Amino acid sequence: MGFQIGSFLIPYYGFFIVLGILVASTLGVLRVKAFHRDVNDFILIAAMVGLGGIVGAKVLYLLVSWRSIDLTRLTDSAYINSLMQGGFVFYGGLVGGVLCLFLCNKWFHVDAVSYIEICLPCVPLVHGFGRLGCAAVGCCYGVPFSSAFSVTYQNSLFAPNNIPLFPVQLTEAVWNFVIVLILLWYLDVLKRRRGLLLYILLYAPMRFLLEFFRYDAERGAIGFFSVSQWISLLLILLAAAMLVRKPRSGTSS
Amino acid sequence: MGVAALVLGIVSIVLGAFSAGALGWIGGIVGIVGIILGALGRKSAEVGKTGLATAGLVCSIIGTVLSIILYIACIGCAGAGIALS
Repeated sequence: MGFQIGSFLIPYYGFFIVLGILVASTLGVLRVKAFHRDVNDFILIAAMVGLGGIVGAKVLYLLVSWRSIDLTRLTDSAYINSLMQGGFVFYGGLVGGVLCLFLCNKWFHVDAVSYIEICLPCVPLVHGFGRLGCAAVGCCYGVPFSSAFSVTYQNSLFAPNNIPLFPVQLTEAVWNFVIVLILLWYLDVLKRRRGLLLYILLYAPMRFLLEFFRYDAERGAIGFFSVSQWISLLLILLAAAMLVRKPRSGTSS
Repeated sequence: MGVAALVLGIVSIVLGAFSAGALGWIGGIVGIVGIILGALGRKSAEVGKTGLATAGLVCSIIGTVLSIILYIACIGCAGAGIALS
């Protein structure tokens, strides 16, 4: 699903995610300049976090959907490409991105941790645009739901067509954009620190709740909850534990 | 660093624009590595001699954007790849 520019078919999802990356990069560069930091360091960190995010999101996707993967076709290049093209899990990307952030410190001697607070609003911004892409193509769809706010797809490759569904992707997109505004207010207007904890405490509970309204079947589950819900619970507990701890002087998050 | 970034940037543009869906994900990864090398090249270059690294950085960004916009189907959506296969 996409639109045509010349002979190229631009998929809606790719369009929205690239739009999100461009908008978030612009915001990041503006903030880095406003805080008098090195733009090259920002580019380096953003690229490393992006690489770690893509690898982490793909690895978690392969782990949670391993039952659906046909191991006998792993030598088939077309099948490998289809596996690599679609299917990522956000929390895997978050973990991969954070790991690469620390690798930035170790390998390139860049004080990456100090950039977390500056660049933090870029994360939910890209995520929000990604969810708009999900809504456009119909993946990550919601449960059947009849109301004035329902979404009904006509030609989706992913969602059941002609059935009113809960707009779970749009809800998450809007919440991500609200988180961006809250983080900007918290970090820039209130001049407070530990924004990463605030981000986790704003995003994870909403993700936990929205998972109950998801209807796409190919998501890993452990017991009553999906993998993302377990990760949400873990993150909430970790963030709450760090919040009650008194921050050391000089720590940013 | 600058030369490596430029080479990777050009490779990612070629992969992104002309592989017709087959190698777009490789183009994205190659492009991101090119961006990393480009940024490192700009950091380590003498003042006024960052042209090659900047060219590599720009090419890598274009290649990454082309690869991602054309070939990533859905981040955050487990099952999208399986559904397409």
